[in-house]
Amino acid sequence: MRPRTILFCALIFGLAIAGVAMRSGGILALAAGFCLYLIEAVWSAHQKADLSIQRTLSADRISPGRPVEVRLSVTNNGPALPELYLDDPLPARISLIEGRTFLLTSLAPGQHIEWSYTVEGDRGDFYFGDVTASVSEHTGLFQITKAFETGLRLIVQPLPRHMRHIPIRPPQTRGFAGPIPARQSGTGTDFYTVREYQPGDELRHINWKLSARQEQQLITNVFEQQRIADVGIILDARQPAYAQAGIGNLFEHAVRAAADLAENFLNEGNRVGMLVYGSSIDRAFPGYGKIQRQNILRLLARANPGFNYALEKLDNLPTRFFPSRSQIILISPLLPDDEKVLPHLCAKGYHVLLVSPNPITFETVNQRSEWGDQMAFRIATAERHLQINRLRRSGIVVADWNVQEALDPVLQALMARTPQSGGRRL
Amino acid sequence: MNTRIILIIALIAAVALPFTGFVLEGLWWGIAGTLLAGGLWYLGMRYQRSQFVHLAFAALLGFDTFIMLVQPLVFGLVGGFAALAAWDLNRFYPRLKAFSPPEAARTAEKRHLLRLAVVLGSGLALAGLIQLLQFEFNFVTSFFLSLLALIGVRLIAAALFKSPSLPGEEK
Repeated sequence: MRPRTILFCALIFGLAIAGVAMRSGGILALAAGFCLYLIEAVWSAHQKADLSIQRTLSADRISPGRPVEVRLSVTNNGPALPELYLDDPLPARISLIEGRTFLLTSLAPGQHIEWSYTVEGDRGDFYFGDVTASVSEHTGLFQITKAFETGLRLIVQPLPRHMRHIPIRPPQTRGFAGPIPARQSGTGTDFYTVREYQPGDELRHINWKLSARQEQQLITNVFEQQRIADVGIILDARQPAYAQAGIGNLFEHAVRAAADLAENFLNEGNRVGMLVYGSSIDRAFPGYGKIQRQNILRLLARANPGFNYALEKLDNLPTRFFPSRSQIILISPLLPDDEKVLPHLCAKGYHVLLVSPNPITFETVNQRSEWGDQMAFRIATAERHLQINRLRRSGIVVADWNVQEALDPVLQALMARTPQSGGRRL
Repeated sequence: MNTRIILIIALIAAVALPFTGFVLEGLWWGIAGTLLAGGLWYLGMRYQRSQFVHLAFAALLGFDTFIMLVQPLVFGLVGGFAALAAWDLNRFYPRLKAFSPPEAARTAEKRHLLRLAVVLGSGLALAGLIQLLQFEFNFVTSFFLSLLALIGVRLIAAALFKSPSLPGEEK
């Protein structure tokens, strides 16, 4: 029972008792009048709310900052409702930018009403839960509340940015033509090697200058095949890796980098898989095309930093998830123990590119913290450089990424100066 | 707009009637009490504190009850009903402003005021009728009648709250 109702009933009884105790007809008459008000409220109280409520979204997948219109339509299938209060609570981290999430109205039998509001949100997977309907009679003494299931999901996924071609060279490529050098001779555009002319070779491929230096022998230029490859992207979502820099922002940079890289490699026709390694291991199995793009973006929309004792280190990284000798891109700010684990990936035959958002520069730039003592900053930077150098020596290509800069030029510069290892097979 | 005017009039009447009664009786604590209750009600309205309004309503009813014992019934009876009207409209008026669409607000306002007028008019008429009939009960009869009324209202309330409701509903 509502406090208002309790108060009113208590007042009636108080008046009645006072009237009896003081043998005052006037007080009893006042109590009787109040009783009439209560009886009217009881008489018109509703037993149930027979409503049908539907919620629709103008888009179920959006990028951060893009508005979405939420439209609710309500139909009264029961008796007249003099006071109907509908409340549609917003999920956390979704903000209202226009309209209102509640409606107070009256509905005649069979009447239909619609209302809408506009929201926007940060990256995430949001669930719009039940709509609550409260029906009360005129006096507000009696009220029923019912939740109507109208669950809808809104995915705010990162918006991938265009990147230039990243010249990766995984040890193994797939069978279809693509942009990645396959370390095998064949039709292609890049010079690979030379060999003795064989019947059937195109005359325009004969290396005349080299042939002139040979006796009775023609030499043909051989080009390198270009194919698509398997690319596995691992997003490190372990909370301790981001703890220094304030969990939210640096992780957002990492997520955006993962989205950009996935978009880039998928656009080039590669087979891309994604693994989010944090409180659990969430994955998008390797695949191609637009559907895979949606799978990966949905996975990234849900990604959040988390902690799990079992996944505290990268030891439990399920490397079998990615085909052997494929390209692995790990996006991680790095923890001290990671340098022991990552060389194992190279030993297993993977070509590893580590994109490491730099938490030290991020913290000193963004947080303007007291911690930014010069000596401490220098020590932390030196430790990080040592760690990165050790990883580079073990064969891992490392991009030490200051997130204040765009990732694309960092990767281009890195790949341009990184010698691509691997044997040549004719 | 009508609701606001009626609310102000009802509130003034709810305070002024017992106040006048106390002035006529010369009881300074009653004068101060009604003014304080009126002030509390105003504060509750202004800062949207329903507890203040409930407290002021209960206090004004208490003053109405007392004044009915020492002054003509009109002060307490009409003052009590005016307080009830103000208490009802005090809840309804802010909700009316939030009503949507505007046509629904106009209809709801008209319907609510009409119902309130009918109920309060009937209540006043009933109270007047009770006064006219002038039944004579001794204390024991009155006590048992009150007990009967109490049990009756309890039964009605129990029936109301035990009535089957849809899953997820709460009252």
